[in-house]
Amino acid sequence: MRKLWALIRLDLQILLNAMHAGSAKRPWAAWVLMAVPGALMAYLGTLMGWSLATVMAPVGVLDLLAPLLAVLCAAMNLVFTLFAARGLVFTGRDSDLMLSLPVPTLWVVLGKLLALMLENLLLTVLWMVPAGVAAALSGGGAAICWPTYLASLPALALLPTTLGLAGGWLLALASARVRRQALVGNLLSMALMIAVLAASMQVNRLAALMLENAGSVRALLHGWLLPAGLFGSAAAGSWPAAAGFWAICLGLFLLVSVLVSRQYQRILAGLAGRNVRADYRLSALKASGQFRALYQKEWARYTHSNIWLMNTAVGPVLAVGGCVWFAFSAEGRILAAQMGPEAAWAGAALAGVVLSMCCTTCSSISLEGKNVWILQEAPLTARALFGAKAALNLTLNIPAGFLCTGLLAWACGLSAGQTAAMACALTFSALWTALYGLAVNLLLPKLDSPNDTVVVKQSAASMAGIFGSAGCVGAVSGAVWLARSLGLTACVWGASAALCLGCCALWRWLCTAGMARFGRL
Amino acid sequence: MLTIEHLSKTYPGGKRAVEDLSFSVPTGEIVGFIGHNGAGKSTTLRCAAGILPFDSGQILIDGHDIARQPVAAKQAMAFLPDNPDLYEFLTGVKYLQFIADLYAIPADVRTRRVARYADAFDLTGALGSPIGGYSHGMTQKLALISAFIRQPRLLILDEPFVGLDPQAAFTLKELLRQLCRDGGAVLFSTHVLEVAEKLCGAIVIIQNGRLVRSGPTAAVIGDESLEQVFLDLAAEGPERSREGAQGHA
Repeated sequence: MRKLWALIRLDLQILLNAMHAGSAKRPWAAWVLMAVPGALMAYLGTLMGWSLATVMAPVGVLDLLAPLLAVLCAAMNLVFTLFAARGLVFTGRDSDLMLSLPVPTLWVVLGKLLALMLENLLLTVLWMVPAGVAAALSGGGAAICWPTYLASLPALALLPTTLGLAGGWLLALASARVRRQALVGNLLSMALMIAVLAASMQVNRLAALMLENAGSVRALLHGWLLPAGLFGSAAAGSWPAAAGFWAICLGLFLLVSVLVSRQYQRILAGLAGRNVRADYRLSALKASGQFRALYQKEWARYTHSNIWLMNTAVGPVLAVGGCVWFAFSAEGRILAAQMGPEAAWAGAALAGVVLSMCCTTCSSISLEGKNVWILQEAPLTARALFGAKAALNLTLNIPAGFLCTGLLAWACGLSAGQTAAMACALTFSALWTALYGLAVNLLLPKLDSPNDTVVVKQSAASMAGIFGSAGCVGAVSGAVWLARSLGLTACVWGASAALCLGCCALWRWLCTAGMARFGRL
Repeated sequence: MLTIEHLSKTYPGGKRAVEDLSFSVPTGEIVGFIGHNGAGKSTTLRCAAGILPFDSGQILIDGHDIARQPVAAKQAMAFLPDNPDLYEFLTGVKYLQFIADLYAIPADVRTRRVARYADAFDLTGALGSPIGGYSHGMTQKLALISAFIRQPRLLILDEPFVGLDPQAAFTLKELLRQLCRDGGAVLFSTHVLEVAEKLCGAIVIIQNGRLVRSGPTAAVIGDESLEQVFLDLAAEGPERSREGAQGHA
């Protein structure tokens, strides 16, 4: 057990180390940046608990509240765990070392999973406790017995860990069996993301559906959704149900862990297997410039890194999807009719915030990792180096911004001037996001991560980049909204000018102090 | 070609890696850089390559100050660290294309050079495969090819022979000699003292960040072997480090 505990501590260290800003001078930075997603989870949990309890209490279906909260919590955790499991369990750079240690492979796998589970537990607590408090305060107190409710939360955290491991294993297996691993991995992950997004769009109908089909839902909770049913009974105060819930969750967790550990070496060997051909024939090579070479290299890394692509592609997909909904759905058309052009501006502000969460540059320098020497020893200018990295980010955000502009303008009948203002604002906010991300990554570099997942999902720079750029764009949008009495179009042009000035200042910093910082990495 | 004057570098935490180091690498010379583990060899080479900032001193590459004119200095040189990490998501040929683009090598010239050096290191057939699938030796060969296609005037190598098979090691020695005959210069660190003895026209030995001996190989070795000289210096320890800073063989 000492060895298992040592492995758990090591893997926790790997997860926590990702949040460290890379400097002993700022140990507080990791904790501050962990507070941001934590606060977000608590906010969402509170919102869910309150709104669901408000709807369910009057019609006497409070017994469905706790299972529903548990399912939503597990689903959210699963999305994070799927990629984290793949990164930490299947593609970590410490695999050779781990497998050469005199410990059973099961211990190695359990160490990684339990570290992941502890992270899930934190998110589960941050979601479920505020949700339970909010539900109790809004009339749902009868559904929550706190001792059994809290005692069941660790078991609830095991579920997404188990499902994430199984899903990550299937993703890794499928990818390993095909030649173009990166492409297959990306396609599978894209399909999963679209499925999760489509399902999440239906969340707002869940309460209504449950009211209409309470009997069927209860039957499900005694059927294939038994774990959720047991959690509901445990939350209501049943210790036997809590024990049953623990038994199922722990049993599944151990079963999957044992199965994976038996195949672990084969899985890792398949993923890391060398596939070098010896029949390449050199043909005439083409030449291009520094900028294009660096940009193509960024694209190659982006499409090869499943986690980087999936973590950033969500922004443009959500923004464009939301605008498509607004332009073509009945609810969207009603909204457009009621609010007029203001609906378009509100939509643009929302799209801008969502797009700004697509910040590839905030991980771009950290992802260079041990390859950073290649760029440091090359005769590169700041324009080529940083310009190429920013260009990748702009390639994702600007076309999405134009699409959103077109859809919103068409749906609300905006004039050419209004459309141009909107397009300009979204373009400069995309530029701001790209340059801001670079600056953040230079200030908070993380070059020693064991895998891409840790850099993209858990590093201080990625947190500060994603939430910071969204915060900036949100603040600008808020300022425009507050000043709308001066004329929305004029305010939007003003916001574009402000963002443009900000971009100029950032670019100047990147070309001077930023380049010096890069040289010191 | 390379002049290092009074170079000093201290890492955060107080570790003095290099102290008041001065030596030069003239055109047409292969200089071997020798020292015990942790002596400051890699630090010195990385400072010369413009990768690591240093506290004081000056480094000139082909007349360009690495601190004040980094782009011009780097254009004239090529550096390879020990155990170089390359982009695993690129194929070998795409990596070479990438390097060639960064150094603005024309298309026909790069095709010729890639063919020549890939053939010399027997790596042509593997250039179409991802670097992530390469063995350590293949990666080392690819890194060397990426350095040679630039036809640098100064080549700085940190332990270049590690991982190379005997054929590739022989090829590398021949290419280094050819580079010097063509007007270039080479500075490389190695722990394989026999190679340094046979290949290098001059030797620089550092100990605990300080220069202890430098000069033409024959003068440094004298009647002994380089290995014996190295062991004698190691036995003399820190005292020698301080004396060596004042005068060299």
